[in-house]
Amino acid sequence: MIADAARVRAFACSGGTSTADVQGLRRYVQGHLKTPSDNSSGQLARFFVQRSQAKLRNLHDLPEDWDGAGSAAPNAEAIANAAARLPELYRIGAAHAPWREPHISANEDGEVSFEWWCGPRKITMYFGASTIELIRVWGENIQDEMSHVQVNPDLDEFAQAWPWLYMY
Amino acid sequence: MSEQLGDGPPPGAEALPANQLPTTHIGNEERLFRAVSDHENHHATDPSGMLLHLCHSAFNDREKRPSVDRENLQTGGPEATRLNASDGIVVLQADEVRGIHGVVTLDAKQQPLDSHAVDVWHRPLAENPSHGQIEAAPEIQSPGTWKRLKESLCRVAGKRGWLLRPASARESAPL
Repeated sequence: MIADAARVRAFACSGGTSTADVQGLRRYVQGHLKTPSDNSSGQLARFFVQRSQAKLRNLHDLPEDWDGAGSAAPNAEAIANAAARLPELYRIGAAHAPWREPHISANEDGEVSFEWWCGPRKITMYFGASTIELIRVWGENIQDEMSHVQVNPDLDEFAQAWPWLYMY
Repeated sequence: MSEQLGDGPPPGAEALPANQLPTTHIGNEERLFRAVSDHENHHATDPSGMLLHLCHSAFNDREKRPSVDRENLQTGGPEATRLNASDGIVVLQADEVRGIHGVVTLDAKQQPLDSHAVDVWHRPLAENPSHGQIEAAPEIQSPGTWKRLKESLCRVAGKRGWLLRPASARESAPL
């Protein structure tokens, strides 16, 4: 868990939770939580990433050279990989600090990216068809102010990076 | 008989091929304009609504040589660097691009394999004499190295904020 000062930053960076979010959550849970045996944490995770899932679906519509820079169309398997890991990222992230949906984009090779900023710190994740990378950025010097790792299936690297985003 | 329009060569003159256009050194103090298309993938508004973040994809470039325009030679001002009226413009200073350090390609054991110097070169085009490119030498082959360089370019551009915001973000507060 993160310290109080970091919690304040986390709240500011996440934009807090709006009344609309809470009302939407209530409607969503009432609509989807059919029986007491339903996995409620799974339902919550799906609620808090539904906007991102919609944005990921939109990536399927981007053609070759979508950005005018010669980029490949986002890879369908990379999109599926990112979509499958998103609820898990929420569960891990929300357990440590306030959750915030990522900014979603794609790179020249058709990989999908998630980006989060908080003050001077940033996390970028890249999803390939079967790979995940994570870059932490806290300055422009690549050697001294960035770290770049492959992410294991258990997402441990993300679990470490998420609270780091707010602790400065 | 129709009148000749546009900025092409005067009648009777032949246009020089792009690789024969005169080039000049880009001074360290020179400012460089980078156009950022108004695509939701390229910029992100902070939840506070106060900040407009520049995303890595704003520097997407298949050849790993992002284009810029030299302010000194861009007679039309930053607006002329835009490809579309909705584009935003960010500014990089040449010495800060050249000052990006640690552009290193690592091998499988995370040991340095190649060290790349980042520079900006004047690469005039027939239709855009102010055109330049940010290039690494030796050329970057590793996707990972390129991803880190794009993060650094975002930081360098972020120091000066947006000179022109993309159309969809022009109503929000300045960076």
